[in-house]
Amino acid sequence: MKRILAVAVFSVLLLSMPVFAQKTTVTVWFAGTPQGFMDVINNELVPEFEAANPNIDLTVSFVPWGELSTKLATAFAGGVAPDVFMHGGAATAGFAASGRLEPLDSYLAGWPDAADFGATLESGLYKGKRYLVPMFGAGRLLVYRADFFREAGLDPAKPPTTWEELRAAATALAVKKDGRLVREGLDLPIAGIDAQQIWAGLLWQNGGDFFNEDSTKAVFNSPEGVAALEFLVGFIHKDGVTDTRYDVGQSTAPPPMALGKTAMFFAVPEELNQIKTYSPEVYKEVRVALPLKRKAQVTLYSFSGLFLSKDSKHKAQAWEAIKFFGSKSSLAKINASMGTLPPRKSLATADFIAHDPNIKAFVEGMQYGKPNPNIPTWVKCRDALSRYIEKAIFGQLSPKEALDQAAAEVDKILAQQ
Amino acid sequence: MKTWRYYWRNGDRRHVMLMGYLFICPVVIYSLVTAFVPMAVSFYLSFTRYNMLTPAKWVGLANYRTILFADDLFRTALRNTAQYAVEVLPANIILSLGLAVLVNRAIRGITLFRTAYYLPVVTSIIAASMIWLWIYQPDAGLLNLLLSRFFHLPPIDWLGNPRLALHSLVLMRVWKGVGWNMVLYLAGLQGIPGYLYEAAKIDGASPAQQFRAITWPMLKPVTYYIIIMGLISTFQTFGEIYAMTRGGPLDSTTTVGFLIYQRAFSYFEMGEASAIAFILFVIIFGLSLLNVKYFQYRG
Amino acid sequence: MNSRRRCYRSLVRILGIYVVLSAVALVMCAPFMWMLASSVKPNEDIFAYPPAWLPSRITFQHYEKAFSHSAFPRYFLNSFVVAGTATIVNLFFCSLAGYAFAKLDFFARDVIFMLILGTMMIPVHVTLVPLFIITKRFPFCGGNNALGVGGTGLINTYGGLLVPYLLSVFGVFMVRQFCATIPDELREAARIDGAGEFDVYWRIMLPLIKPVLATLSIFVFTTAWDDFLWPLVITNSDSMRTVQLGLQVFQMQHAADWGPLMAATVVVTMPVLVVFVIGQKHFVQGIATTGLKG
Repeated sequence: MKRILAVAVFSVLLLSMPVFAQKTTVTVWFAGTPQGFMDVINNELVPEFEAANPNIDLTVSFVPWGELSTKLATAFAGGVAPDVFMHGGAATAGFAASGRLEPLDSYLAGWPDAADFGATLESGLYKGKRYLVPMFGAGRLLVYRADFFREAGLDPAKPPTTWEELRAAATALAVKKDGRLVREGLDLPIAGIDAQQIWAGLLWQNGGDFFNEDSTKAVFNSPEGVAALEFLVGFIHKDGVTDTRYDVGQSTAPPPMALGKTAMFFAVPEELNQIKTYSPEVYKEVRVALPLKRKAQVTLYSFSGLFLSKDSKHKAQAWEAIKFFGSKSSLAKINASMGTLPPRKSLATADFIAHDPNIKAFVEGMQYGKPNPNIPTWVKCRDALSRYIEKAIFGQLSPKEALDQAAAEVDKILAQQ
Repeated sequence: MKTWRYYWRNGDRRHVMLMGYLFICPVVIYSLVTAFVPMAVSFYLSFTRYNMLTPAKWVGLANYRTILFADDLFRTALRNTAQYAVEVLPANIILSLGLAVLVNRAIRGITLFRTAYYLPVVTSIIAASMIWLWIYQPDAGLLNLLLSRFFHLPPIDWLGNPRLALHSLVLMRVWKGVGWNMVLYLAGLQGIPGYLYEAAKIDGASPAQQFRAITWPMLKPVTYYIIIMGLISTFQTFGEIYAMTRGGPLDSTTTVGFLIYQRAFSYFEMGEASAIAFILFVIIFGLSLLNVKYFQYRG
Repeated sequence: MNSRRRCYRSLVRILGIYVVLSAVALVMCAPFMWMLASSVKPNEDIFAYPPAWLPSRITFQHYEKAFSHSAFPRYFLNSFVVAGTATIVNLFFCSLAGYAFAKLDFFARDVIFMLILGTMMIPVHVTLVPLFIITKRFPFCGGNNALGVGGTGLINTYGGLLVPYLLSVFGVFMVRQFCATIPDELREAARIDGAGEFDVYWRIMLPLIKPVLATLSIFVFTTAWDDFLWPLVITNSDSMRTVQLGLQVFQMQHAADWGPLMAATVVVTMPVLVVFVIGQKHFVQGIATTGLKG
């Protein structure tokens, strides 16, 4: 009897052993595949987290940006979505409206450190709830070449600050030979998301906006929006200081600024890094200006960060992971690895920023940043808008016609929701 | 078509039939699981609104109605796709047959040339697209540089000009695909018995006559294969569009394949994407059947 | 005299052929050569303007960077396993089915064939989700029960990676077309000699269609090696990734790391070229066999 009891007790103990040692696995999908970024996550942050949280196993993957939506959609459809995944702030509304995201407000309330993020937390705001912990950001600022400024008799220390100054500088900087533009005053993307983003900056500077208060109607065809598009198109058709070079594909190379084919363009930090790597001599002459000011001083800044899946079975542990990757030290490493903009205010003085005045200017510009509107059908609305902006740039439609037609189409999309 | 009885009643024919079924059995089962079932699901989805995040919602024929009667972009895409196929297919067939005849000889170094022609096929579409973006770049691209150096031509915006962009993509596609069809034709040429040519030579046939009377007819099954494959792949063209032009400028390179991707994974409208896919299916299937008529061979 | 002139003329002909061959080769290879040249250029040469074919100095820094810390050896292994397995499986089953579709007469043969071919006419993007779910619900794998519930099925396994390439309908079609060119008399003669259907396929047909089998291997290997979308969707861990996914490391949202990207692309392309070089050797053997036939 005693023996049976002993065996029973022993087997109960044995069976319960794995329960004590049970580890929770938290799956995290990061977006983007730069080697430096992956190295920091894999070799530094994950071991650090697992050492601090012995009961949590982190499984991380890196998904290329271009295929992020495809991968996430299949995973959600197949019921194998990760606990935590990264995406751009503009994706918040789509996933949240479908009920696939866990609102983070209550979690953030218990994280004293969260205040350090400031306004960047708003990137993941949808219907009054916050869903995103930002990891890194990018903004669009005017980038110019000091040597060309001097050549044109302009002061490189005084970049354009208003629309009028930008136009004057672009005209002065353009170089023509035999009636052909050999150096653009200002390089503008003529199609796609890039053109739409630059126009968005001008729209906001001019006091306009995309949608009405409750995002049910397009208002970007306001006089402010039309004036912004007229200003943009003017560089190409009126002033002739911008080429219609088509580049929306993967990665255009070489960048026109590195070749000396343009004096100014609106860049994101990644494009600057490319010039820095491949044309170090040119980079010495590259400067960054703060956003232009008209009715407001503003430009597009967007943040990507981590979302917590509603389907996650280990939300508490997943939140621990998010909190860890969102900590000051993690974000310093992540952003340094890619030269991206850290979302925490306290990181504005980090080493990798202080080293490069251009990145510093991008961080400084963050205070004028504004994210894309967060509506579930944003990508579709944005693409419709881009197509009409393109038509205006190619001269098929006048700016007013283009925006009116775009607004009609966007209204239809908004009505479908 | 012969009836089931025709086969079943005769012992020999029955045996051949059963062996036939046995031989195709693995392919049929595999296709059933990995192709027919997904296709059936996707057919069902074409009657729904489905964003992959929440369950599908039945909407009847709404997707088809929108696409067929109220979708300008679909019509543009269909036109572009047809144009693309019409340019790529003949160019591909003529050039690849020419290349195959050219390399179908046992001379020193022929492996090197064959490999050179095959090189574009094995370069991944993404890498190839990036190189071609560079080639086509208007002010620093290799092509414009050559043209200006040797012919003093002003720079041409190969991908930026809406009237030119699709043709530029055709050129790249032909460059990329011609090597593969060359291999097929080469294999076909090797299968033509040498005695046919010997006999023709004795009859005094010129090389051109030999080509018309022997080579071309003997290659018919290969040509049929190349046309069907070409139809299927050009009508689904996606990779280079995605990597190079994203459908622009001014929708001049938006293909149906790209539209399907965009609706499915940019807008999360899988229902609409599926409906487009089935309209495309009907078109490709119809064109393939037309081809069967022209290329009927003795079974 | 006459023979010397003929000799002279054939020499000119050969020379002419080489000139044409080389000219075409130049055009076909130029983009790849540019890639190769870029891969050994120092950073500051890559975007030099006007572009130069030859680097100012040759450097292997991009190759070092591309292959130093990433898990490329593992990616290569995975790609080899997937493409190799797919090739072997395809060689047998495609030729078997292709032969049957071409040479064996059976009820509803052409209808079945058209139906199977029809499955190729649906773009991959709309069947991706259903196929993914089927792979996930594969019974008795990855913790699944008989109904395919409970686990993750074949997701993130070699089996899952292989799903779309295991049997190529295009391959079946290819073999069918080439078998059609072979005279029926051969099969009939063998049958009269008492050979079974499988014997006819194995001993008569297979040797005759060797060039096609070589073509098929090249095709299947290339397809499996170059695919990107399916491996991306089906794998989650670094240890299961394939080379095409590895190339993504050098592409960012707005820019690319050109040097290492070019270097890695060159290396990733090599195995497929080797397969091609090996495969195309069998074309010559094809001549010999068909010669015997006459």
